[in-house]
Formats: sequence, structure tokens, C-alpha cells
Amino acid sequence: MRDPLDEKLDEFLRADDIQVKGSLSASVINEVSKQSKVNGRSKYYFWPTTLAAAACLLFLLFNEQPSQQPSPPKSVVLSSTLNLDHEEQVLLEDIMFFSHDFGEPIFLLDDQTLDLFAMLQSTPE
Amino acid sequence: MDDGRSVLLSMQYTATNVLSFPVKAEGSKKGNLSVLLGESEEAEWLNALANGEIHTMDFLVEKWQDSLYRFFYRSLGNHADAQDLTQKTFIRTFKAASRYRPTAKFSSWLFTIARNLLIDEIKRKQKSQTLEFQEEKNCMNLESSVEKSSIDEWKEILQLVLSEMPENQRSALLLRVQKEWSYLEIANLMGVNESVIKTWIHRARQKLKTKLEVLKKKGEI
Repeated sequence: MRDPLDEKLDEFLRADDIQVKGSLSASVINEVSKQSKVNGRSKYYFWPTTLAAAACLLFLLFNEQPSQQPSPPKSVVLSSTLNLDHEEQVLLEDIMFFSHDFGEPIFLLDDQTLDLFAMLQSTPE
Repeated sequence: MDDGRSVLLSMQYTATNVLSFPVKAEGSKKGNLSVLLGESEEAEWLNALANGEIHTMDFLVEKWQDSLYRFFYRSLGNHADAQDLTQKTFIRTFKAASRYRPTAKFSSWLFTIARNLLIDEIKRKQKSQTLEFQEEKNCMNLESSVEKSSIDEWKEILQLVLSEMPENQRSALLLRVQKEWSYLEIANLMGVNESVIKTWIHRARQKLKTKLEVLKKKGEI
């Protein structure tokens, strides 16, 4: 004879007293299925579009940045006749050191400074 | 009399043709298996469904919604979730109808879909709920279960125990009791050995029985 507790347990697990609230119909399932298809498709297109847009933005950003900076002077007028005092010479040496250290041309110098810079570079040591 | 019978036979023949199952190309073995397993009508309905006869979904719903609902309800202890997952199972069945091959019982196929959805739902819930919130909720459930002087109080307490056990133990037990599947059938669905299934079911039963014994001693059942 079976244990009454097992009987009770099976009665609980079978849940025969539990009823579905409302009934599903084929038309509802079909409709929801169509909606989920549409949602799935929009998800499918959403990510490639977003990634493509992000790639374009990054491309534009990296290509725009250099053009926003002032372009380097195309020519430097040498003013070898200019007389420099000690302070000017120290300043120019600092500029040269800075320029050389970072390996970058200095674009933001005014014309006079550029003249000094060029002259110093052309001065034999 | 003869005419009447022949008309009836002809009607049955036509209906069978409409819902015929495409097993000719696959060989008769696969087709016959479904018939042998006693679930041939589901295979026919799915075939019809795949051919655009959407109304056949109503037959599937009518026959299987209670089973699915009870499985989900006992797994999650919540009517809204059970309703939602039952609907999702039918939607997935609807979408996959054309891919169904009667190499196994329809119910195995259906409950594989159901269990996958259940596991997804459990994972989703675990992600969305913090541990503290879950503990608080469980305490509240226990208190409300104990305080409530309902005739089904013991069921609520057992439901809590059931909801808290590992999914594999619970699903194995529910398939065994609700669907009366063999250990082998459950093992095939869950992808483990028969002996593992027996252990899981034994453990799950023991947990519930221990609780039930406590409730009996307290005179609550």
C-alpha cells in the first residue's frame, strides 16, 4: 500500500485543480508570432546600422581633427641679419629643445618667432 | 446504407489527405514511429500548420495548454509567468512547425521547447532580482503562507519548497508525476543518464516529503 504522504505529494504535483486563466487561440498566437518576427527583424537591422553609423562617425572624427589644426608654414624666411641678445637666444634654444623632444613641428608660433627659430637653426655652432 | 457509409469514408479520406503527413520522402519508418507512439494527430496538425492552416493551432492549444500550464505553474509558482510561458511555447511551436520530424514523441519535442523557455525565464529572473530582494520576498512568502488560514496553505508552502529546488530536479519530478513519463524518456529530454534522473527525482521527492511530514505533525494537512 502506498504511503498517504506520497499520495498527497502527487496530488499537489499533478495540480489538476490549476486551470488556465483564459484560453489561447490560433489567431492570437499567429498575431503575436508575426509581431515577434517584426521585432526580431528590426533588432537584426538595428545593430549593423548602429555599428556602421559609429564607424562613419569615428572615421569622420579622426579625419577631421588634423584639418582643424593650423597648417604648418610652407616657407620660413630666414633673417640671418637679426641680432639676438642672450635672453632671445635662450628662449629659442628652449623652443628648439621642446620641438626636438616631442618630435613635432611647432605650428603655433608667430612669424617673428619662426624667423628667430629658423635663424638659430641656420647659425653654425 | 452503403451510400451513406461510402460518403462518410470519403469525407474521412479527404480530411486525412488535408492533414496528411509528408513521410513518403523520409521513409515510412519515421512516419510510423509517430503513429506507434500514439501522437500521430499532433504530427498531422504540425504539418498542416506548416502548410499555412493556422486553425490547427487551436487543436494543439486545446490539447496541450493545461499540461504546459501546470508544468510552468508548479515550476515557477506564478499564474502570470505560467500563462506567459505557455503562450511562448505555442508561439515557438508555431514557428518551428515546419522543422518538426516525427522521430520522437510530439510531447517530448513540446516539453523540450517548454523546458528551454523555462530555463531562459529562470536565468532572466535571476539576473533581474538582487539576492537581498529575493531573500526578502521568500521571507514574505513564508510569512504570508504561514499566516494565511487558507485550506490550501500546505500547497503554498510546498510550492515554495518546489520553487527553490534546482530546476533539473524539479522538472524531472514534474515530468514523472504530471506526464507519467518513464525515467528513460525524461533522461532523453534532459540529456543525462537514467540513473541521474532517478537520483534527481528521489532528492526532489525527499525534500517535499520532509516538508510535508513537518506540516502533518503540526496538523496543517
